[in-house]
Amino acid sequence: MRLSRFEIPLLTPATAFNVLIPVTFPNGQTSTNFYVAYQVVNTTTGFKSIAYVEPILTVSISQTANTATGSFGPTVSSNTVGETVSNLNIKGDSPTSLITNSGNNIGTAFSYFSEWDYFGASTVSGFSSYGECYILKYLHYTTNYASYLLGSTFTYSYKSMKGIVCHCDLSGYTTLNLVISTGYIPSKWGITIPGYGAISQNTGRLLYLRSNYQNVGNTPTVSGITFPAVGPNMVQVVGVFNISLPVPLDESVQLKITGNPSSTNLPFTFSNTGTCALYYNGVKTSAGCNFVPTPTEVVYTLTIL
Amino acid sequence: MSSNSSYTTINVDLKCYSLLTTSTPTANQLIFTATSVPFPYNSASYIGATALNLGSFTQWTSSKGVVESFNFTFMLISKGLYVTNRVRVNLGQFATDNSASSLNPKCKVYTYSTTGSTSFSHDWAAIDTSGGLTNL
Repeated sequence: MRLSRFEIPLLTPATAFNVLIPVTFPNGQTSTNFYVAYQVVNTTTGFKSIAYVEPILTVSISQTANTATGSFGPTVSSNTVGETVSNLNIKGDSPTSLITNSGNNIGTAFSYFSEWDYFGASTVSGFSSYGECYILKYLHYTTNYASYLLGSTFTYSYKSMKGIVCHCDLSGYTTLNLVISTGYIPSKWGITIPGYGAISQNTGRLLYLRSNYQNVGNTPTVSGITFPAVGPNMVQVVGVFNISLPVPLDESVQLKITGNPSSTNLPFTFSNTGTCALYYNGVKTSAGCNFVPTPTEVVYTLTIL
Repeated sequence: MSSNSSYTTINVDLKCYSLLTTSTPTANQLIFTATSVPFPYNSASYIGATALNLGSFTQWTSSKGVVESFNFTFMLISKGLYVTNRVRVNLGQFATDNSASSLNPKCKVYTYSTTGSTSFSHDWAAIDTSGGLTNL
């Protein structure tokens, strides 16, 4: 049994409003129950009391989202890892035309979320002909609660998600390019950047759910690298590789140095007794460093916590 | 590192990958690259210029009448060092002050450590006093 609750503070709402909730249902779950209520706050004591509870609302899950079609996510094939982009496009192409409910024009929506904040404080345009968009955040939080109750050690993981939900007021939407005034392409994932787009139909069914449709097209090229001069019988030597980073490194990375052409032996070998460390601006960092050498290649693993 | 026409170079490629989602990254995790970077070497002789980075000097007392120890760290940068080579450290005023001392100076040298833990270096266990206390 999974229970969760969240509260949305409302300041004297005068008209009807929509609450947009990104949700994911576990595999095998066929229905889920919602309880909607509102409560009032005593302004003198601060006590809260339930003012109204909506009867139980059961939502049946009869749709498996298609994860093979649709084009969602940032258009970045001509951009570079770590780049700040003016007018970054977020594509939201639906394979099928979307329709809206006649009563309230609500039900069809495009959403895009990622653990990386592509938006910053930017404005978003491009959807006004169909409806409205809302940028929002949520916490994607998972635990092993079921197995924890059976004796396993409690574990959890979470991601702070940020994205956008656009709901349609006009039928016919199939292609879309949202425009973020200033978009930020991350560097810590490499060229495959995180994010999911989704399309839901007016019945509430999730039609399409797919990760980003494009990889970042280019990677920064480092210049000015210096290697230490090496020679024979170098024993217990400290050599410094000086690498000017084109992007910040705030997560663990692998640094691979390979002879060019790849059959070329490196000008040094290791006797499996060496160590390595990472310095930044002349100061040793707390990053862990390990390496695995071959005659033609050395692979460093830099563990950045 | 200074360039030297006597060096031979090979070219190497450098690639940096993200380990955020996998421990065996592929081209999809590529962050930045460098291509055909010259890596100098000399297969026949000893090359390179030494830089000795001295730091973390610790002194316990300034009293000349006290026999004490002091610590410092140093790091040899960009230099091949034969096991038969020596590093000479001029103690400056300390040596002058102790030039008439009847005590034999002793030293301990610890191996290079990336973790800050100290382990005694057997390769650096000796101190040469043959040149006098002012020229250790």
